[in-house]
Amino acid sequence: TKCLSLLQSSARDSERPGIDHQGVAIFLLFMYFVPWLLLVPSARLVSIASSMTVSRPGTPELRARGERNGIMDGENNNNSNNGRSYDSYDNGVKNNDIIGKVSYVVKLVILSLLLLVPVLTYMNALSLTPAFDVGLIQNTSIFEITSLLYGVCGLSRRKNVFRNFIVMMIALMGIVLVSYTKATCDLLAGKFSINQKTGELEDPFLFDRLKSCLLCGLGALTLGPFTVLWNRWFNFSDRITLSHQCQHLTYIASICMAVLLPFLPRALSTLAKVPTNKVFWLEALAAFLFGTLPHVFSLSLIQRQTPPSYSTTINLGAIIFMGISDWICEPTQTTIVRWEVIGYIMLSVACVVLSIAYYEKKHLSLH
Amino acid sequence: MRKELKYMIYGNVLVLITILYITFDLLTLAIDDTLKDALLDVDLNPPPGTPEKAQLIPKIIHQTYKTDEIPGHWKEGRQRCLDLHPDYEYILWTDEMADKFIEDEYPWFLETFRNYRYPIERADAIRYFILSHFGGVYIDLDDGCERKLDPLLTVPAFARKTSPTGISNDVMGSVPHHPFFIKLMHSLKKYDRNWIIPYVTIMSSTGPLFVSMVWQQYKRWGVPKNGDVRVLQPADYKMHEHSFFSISKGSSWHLDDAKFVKSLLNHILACVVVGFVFAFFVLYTEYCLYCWLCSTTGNKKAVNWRPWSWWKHEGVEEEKLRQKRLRKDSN
Repeated sequence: TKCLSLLQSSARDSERPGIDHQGVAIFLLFMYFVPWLLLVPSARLVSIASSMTVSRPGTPELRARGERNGIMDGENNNNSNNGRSYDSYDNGVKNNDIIGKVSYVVKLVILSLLLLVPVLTYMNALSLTPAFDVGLIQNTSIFEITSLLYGVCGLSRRKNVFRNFIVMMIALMGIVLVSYTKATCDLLAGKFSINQKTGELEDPFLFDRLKSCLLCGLGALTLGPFTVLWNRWFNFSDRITLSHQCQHLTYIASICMAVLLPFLPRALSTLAKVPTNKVFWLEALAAFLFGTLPHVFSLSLIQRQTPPSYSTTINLGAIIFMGISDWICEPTQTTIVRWEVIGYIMLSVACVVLSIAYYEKKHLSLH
Repeated sequence: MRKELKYMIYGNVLVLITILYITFDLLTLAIDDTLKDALLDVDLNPPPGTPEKAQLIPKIIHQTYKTDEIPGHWKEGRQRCLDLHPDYEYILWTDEMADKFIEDEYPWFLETFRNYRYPIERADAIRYFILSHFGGVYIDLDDGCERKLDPLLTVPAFARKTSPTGISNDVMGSVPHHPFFIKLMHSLKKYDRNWIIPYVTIMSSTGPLFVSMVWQQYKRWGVPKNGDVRVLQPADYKMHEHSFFSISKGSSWHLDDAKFVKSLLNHILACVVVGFVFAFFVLYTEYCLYCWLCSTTGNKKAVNWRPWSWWKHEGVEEEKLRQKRLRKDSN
């Protein structure tokens, strides 16, 4: 997020006439989905690495379980004799089943559209609002909607619901405190004040930031249905392998990129006007290769290995680490006040408590 | 899906649709780009040698006050307007004149007009009727003139941009029977609602918020030919070299609730996050209620149910049930 924000601000600060900021945002949005194409090779790499490092399960029961888990993996299937190979069996739909294939495509398209909205609002918000504000409002929104929908749709256990709710509210109070007391006045401390001499707002971009925060927060809500449907359609069984899930994600990213294709020429012509140097491209590479790719890959791993509700705590962690990265990247501009520290402590404690409450490892192989 | 959950979802969807319906115009205001309709510098300060544009709006200045005894602090601004525009007709609308005008010309509105809770609502409403009827320029008494209004008369209608978004009703101008002002007149009855807080009631029933929302609707369905409403930008409104107006102490109708609402603006962005947290609180409380309903209807010992036992020991009960099932399976 920080890198993407820096990229957008470097384009904005270039002071070249005729630069369309939306064009830069669309270009970065398109680029955001490119690393998703590397998910399948990454899954294969992890699979090979884990099969090399993890020894074969000792007991016959565990061995049988491991073999069952490997049924849908292409590589393992070569040795299985049950006849349901990866090539002829995809997402529970046989290759010659036309209706099944159509429904699979429809599922992918629905998920792609649900994913495109939050990423689009996220990139647009980054062009107007500081990275911390975007990170805060987006993660808060995702945390809320996923926590709620997992509960309502029966994806989380109805155990200690009220206690978890109290902890969630403590975390949210922490978020409000952190943002309100943020001394750099980026988000909540942004004041609506009017310059008495000119009669205009002291901060002319205040309402732009408000608008983009609102859109970013509302846009992130579609990630709720996305994760619910993902868990229902592509994470419902222990038998769906990681590489298979990564393949679905790659298709989803491809559809998103296809949707963006008509806007790409405009984005490229905008980018041609932006003075791009080595640092610009290095930052972009770092953001996508060391930010987006590990983020999406680890998220799909966590969704696979733990109950869905556990992944909600990632959003709380992301806010804490966003604050830390802000402090590391801009040490001279960061002033920490007492209530901000209290807010972070509340948030961290709530995050740890929720992580412990939700944690329950599924013993699945990484294949 | 259990029926409790169904009802809860239907209820929430219904509430959401209602909120969306009520706030739709407000939401569209948040993403409105007033620059498209802005009165540009070339319109207001044409370079020398530019052919003169025809003046569409009649040369009439309208102002309103309860009587013709204008308070001293507004007299100077009013006098500047009169001095700068000797060729303009000037009408000061008193409460008595306004009532008579509505009674004679728009009797269908008389009941609503007389039943307004706050006098400022009448002062707001009358300006839409007089502009629609006679045309001309309406100026609030706290707005003094700084330069001649002639460049503003070259467009069919104008209003000024306000902060944070939308248009205000303190300075407006139009030709007679302009479709936007006709729409404003006919929307007044529909928007005459009591929102409990006086500031909110006034703003949304007749004030700037009402004008802005109707303006959004007006633009949404396509502006008729010669029905444009151009927007005077803040720098052209006041406190700049070429501004048309200067401001003296106004907002005479503001009460304590207005101060409270304005103090919220000091933390306007905080309200966004607090709004998200509040929505989550409400919805998750409903979910907890649903879980509680499930636990009481599913448990035969509901009579002996204790809230603390539900959230603390529900997992234990669940585990006991699972053990029972396992034993049954093993048999």
